[in-house]
Amino acid sequence: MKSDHELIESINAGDADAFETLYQRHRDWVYRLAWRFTGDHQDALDVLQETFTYLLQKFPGFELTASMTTFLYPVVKHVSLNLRRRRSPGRADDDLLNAIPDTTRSETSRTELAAALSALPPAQREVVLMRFLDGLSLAEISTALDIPLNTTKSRLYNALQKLREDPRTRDYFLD
Amino acid sequence: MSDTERHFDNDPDANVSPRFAEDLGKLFAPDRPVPSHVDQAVAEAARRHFAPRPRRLWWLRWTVPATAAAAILVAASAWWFHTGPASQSAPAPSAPSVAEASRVEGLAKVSLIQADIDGNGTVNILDAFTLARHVDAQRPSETSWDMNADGLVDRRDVDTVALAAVRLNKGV
Repeated sequence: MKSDHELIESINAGDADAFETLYQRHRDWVYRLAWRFTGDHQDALDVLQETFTYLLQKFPGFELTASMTTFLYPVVKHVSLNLRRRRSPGRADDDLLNAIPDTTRSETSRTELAAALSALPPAQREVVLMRFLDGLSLAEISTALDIPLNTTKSRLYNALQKLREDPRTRDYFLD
Repeated sequence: MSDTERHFDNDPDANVSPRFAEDLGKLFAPDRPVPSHVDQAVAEAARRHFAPRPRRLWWLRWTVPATAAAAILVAASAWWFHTGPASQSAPAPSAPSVAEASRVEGLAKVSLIQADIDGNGTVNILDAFTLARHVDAQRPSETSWDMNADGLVDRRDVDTVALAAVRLNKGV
């Protein structure tokens, strides 16, 4: 199986099938991220298409300097934010992108997890989700958010401390 | 403590249960999968993007603007040569010398030597201007400048010189 960098090389040479392979590999990840940002199925699909359209326009000549997810994260966030701004002008960006899903019909544990996450400051919540939901490393999070590595670690540490001290999420910690 | 003050030697998430990531995945799972028509749209966009461009279309893209530019250039050039300074400042046919003019048939009765007001050996409109300035300034005139022999050197004599100059230049 070709790596992302090998697929990028093929796409730069004009291989449309390679682009489709890259799309299939990252489609669900982008879609979940878009759904998390937008909270709406159709909006998430629009963001998905717009993200890969944006990527397509970079070929030939695209150079992947980090992981594919590190590259895609700010793109998806930016596209989602623009879409949300059009739908809800005047609202703060943090409100637009950091909404927690409605858990009124979910299991209790999920409801409590949602409530605990809602209590976190937006910057800390974003790092927690990028780390444990989106699967990015700390270095990738730093690159995607364009912040120093130590800032990423601080935000994550402070967020996990709050969750550890929260009785609704204490059981997620091994110590 | 702010997010930027703490220094870490180890990753801060070492003691988190895998259940945390699992439950987050369930919490943020989309309620529907990506439909196939979206996959097809992306695939089609990729095929269009990487499709080889027909050479004639590439050529055609530049033909229309190039043709329009050429047409504008030709029209501008034609207008310029027809009405530009070059056409106005084109050297007039050299004024015939008095000697040459004397050989042309049908000249005005005025003597060409008389009409050569500025004495440069040619008869042209400048002679008429010179005489006109003399008349307007009421300066003393040469008696030879009385072109129509009415005893006066006036605007009628100026007209006579001008007419002689025009007839000579046209070869009349």
